[in-house]
Amino acid sequence: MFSRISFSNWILAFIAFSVLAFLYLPIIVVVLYSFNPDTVNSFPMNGFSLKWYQVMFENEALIASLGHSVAVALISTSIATLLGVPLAFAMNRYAFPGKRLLERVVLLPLILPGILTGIAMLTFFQMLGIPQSMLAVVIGHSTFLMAIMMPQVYAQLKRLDSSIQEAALDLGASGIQAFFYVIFPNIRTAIFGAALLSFTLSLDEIPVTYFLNGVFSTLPIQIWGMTRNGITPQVNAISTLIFAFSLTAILISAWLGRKGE
Amino acid sequence: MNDIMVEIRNVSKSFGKTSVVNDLNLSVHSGEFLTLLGPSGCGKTTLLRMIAGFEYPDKGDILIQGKSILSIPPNRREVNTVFQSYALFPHLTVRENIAFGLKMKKVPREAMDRRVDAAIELTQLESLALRKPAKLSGGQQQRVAIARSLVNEPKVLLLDEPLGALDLQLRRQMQISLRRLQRRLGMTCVYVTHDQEEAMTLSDRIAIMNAGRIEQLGTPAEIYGTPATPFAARFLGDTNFLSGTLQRAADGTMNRFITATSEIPLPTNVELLKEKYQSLSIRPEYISLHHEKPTDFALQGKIIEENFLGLFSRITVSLASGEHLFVLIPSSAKSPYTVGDNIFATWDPAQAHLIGMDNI
Repeated sequence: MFSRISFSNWILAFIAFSVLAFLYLPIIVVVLYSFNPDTVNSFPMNGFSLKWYQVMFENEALIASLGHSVAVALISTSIATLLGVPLAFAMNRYAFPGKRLLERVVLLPLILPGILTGIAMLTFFQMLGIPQSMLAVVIGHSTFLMAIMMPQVYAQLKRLDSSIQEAALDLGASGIQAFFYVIFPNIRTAIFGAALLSFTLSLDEIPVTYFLNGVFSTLPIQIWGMTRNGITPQVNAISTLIFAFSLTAILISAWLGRKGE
Repeated sequence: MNDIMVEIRNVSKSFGKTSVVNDLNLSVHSGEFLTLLGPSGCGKTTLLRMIAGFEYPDKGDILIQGKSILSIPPNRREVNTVFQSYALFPHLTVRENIAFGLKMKKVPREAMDRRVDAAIELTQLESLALRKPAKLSGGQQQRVAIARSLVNEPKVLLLDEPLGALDLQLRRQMQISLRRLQRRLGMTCVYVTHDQEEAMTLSDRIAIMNAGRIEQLGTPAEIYGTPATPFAARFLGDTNFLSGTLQRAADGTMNRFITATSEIPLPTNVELLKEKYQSLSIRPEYISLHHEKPTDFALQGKIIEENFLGLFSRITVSLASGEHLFVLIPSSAKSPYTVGDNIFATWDPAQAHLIGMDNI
C-alpha cells in the first residue's frame, strides 16, 4: 500500500517536472547564453561574462524603445485603471439591460486574436484620422488592459458586502468619503495587482502594437526586428532582464491577489 | 415616555408596480422598543430603510421629534442602523469600526476616545478591540455592529433582523442583553423581525405588518390576548379558528356563537363586531379536555393525534363539524389521553375572541 502511493507519487513528480522543464528550459537557456562571452550560442560556454549586457546598454535604439515601452505601459495601465474601476463600480451597483452581455464583451479584446484586434483598430483609426503612432498604440493597449482591470475589480466588489456602503452613509460619511474610507481600502489590492499584470502584458505586447506603431518602436518590436538576422547575444541579455522583471511583477500580483481574498 | 420620537404619516412606497408600504401611519414613543413583526415581503424592512433614508417614500411624511426628515440625506439623519449582515468594515479593527461615525462627524480626539471606550465597555468588547472583523464570531460581530451605532447616540436606533444569523441559544442571550442595554440607555429602538418569540421578548409594543399595512399595534400581551385580525392571531402565537355566526342575545344576558354543530357562549362584555360572519379564536393552551361531558358547554370530538413537545403535549381533536382543534396540555409522564378517545373540549368563554372576517 505504502509503496504503491510512493510509486504513483514518483510518476506524478516526474510528469510535473517534465512539464516545468518543457515550459522553462528554453528560458533558462536564454538566461545562460546571456552570460556567454562568445558571439555564437553554443554549449558548453567558454566562461561567464556581462559583455552582452554592456553591448545592449550601448545600443541606443534598443534603450530608446525600452523607454517607449515603459511609457506606453504606464499610460495604458493608467487609462485602463481610470476607466476600468468606475466601470466595475457601475456594473456592481446598477442592474441594467445587457449587463450580462457587457460582462462578456469587455473580455473580448483579451480573447480575440491580437492580429484581429490589430487589423480592426488600424482600419478604424485610419477612418478617424488617427495616424500610426504612440497614441494609437496606447489606445490599442488600453482596450485590452481594461479587460484585465475591470473583471478583477468587479470580482472584488462582488465579494464585498454591499451594505458596507450604506453603513458608511448611515454613520455620517458622504458618498465620496464612503468610497475613500470604506470601499477603496477593500479593493486597492485588486487594483494594484491588476495594474501590475497590465503593465507586464503591455510591456511585451507585439501583435496589436505591430499594426499600430508606424515608425514608433517598442521594445518587443525592436527585439523582433533584431532577431530577423539571427539571435544576437544582446537579445539574450535584454530578454533575461525582461524575464526577471515580469516574473517579479507577476509574483507580486499573485501575492496581492491572494492577500485581497 | 409619552412624547413622540418618530412619526410616520400616510407613507406609501412602491417598487415598480408592487406596492410595498401602503398608506401607513405609526408613532414611536421616546424610549420605546417597537418591533415591526411580519412575514418577509410585508414591507417592514422597506419602512425601516425609509426612516434611515435609504429609500424615499412615494407619499406621506416621516418626522423625528415633530420635524420632517425627508429632505435630510441618510448621512445627516440622527438615526443609526444595525444591518442584518452587520456590514462591518473588513479593513478596520473593532475599535476603528466603532470610531468611524464619530470620525466622520469630526468629534475631537479626546471626546471620541472617551465615547468609543464607553461603547466598547458597554458591549464587552475590551479584549477584542484590536481585532479585524474576520477574526470575530457571529455574536461578537453583532456586538461590534451595535456598539458602532450606539456610540453616535442616535435619536433612534434602527435594527434590521440583527440576530437572524445567530443560532438559537446565542440569539436568546443577545435578546436579553440588547433589551437590558436599551432600557439602561433609554434608547428609542425600531426593530424588524419575522420571529414572533423575539418580538415578544424584546418589545414594548409590536406592530404586526402584513401586505404593507399595520394589522395591529399593541403590547405583546394585548396582541396575544386580543388579536384584532385572523392574521395577527396566527402570526403571534398559535390559535384555533372556529367559523360561525354571531347571535346577539335578546335579553342582553348571553351572546352566542353558532357554528354548524354547536352553540358556544361568549362573554357578555365582548365587544361585538358589526360583521355578521365571524371567526372565534381560541388559543390552544386555554382549552381543557374531559372524558365526561362537563356541565357547561363543550364541543365533542375525537383525538386523532398526540405530539410530545417537551413542556407541552399537543393534542389534535377532530370535531363533529370536521374542524380540527389543537390543544396544548402540560406534558406528563403518562398522558391521560389516547388517540381514538372520544373527548369533550371546553374553555372559559372569556378567553375566546371574536375576529371579524371581512378583512381576510
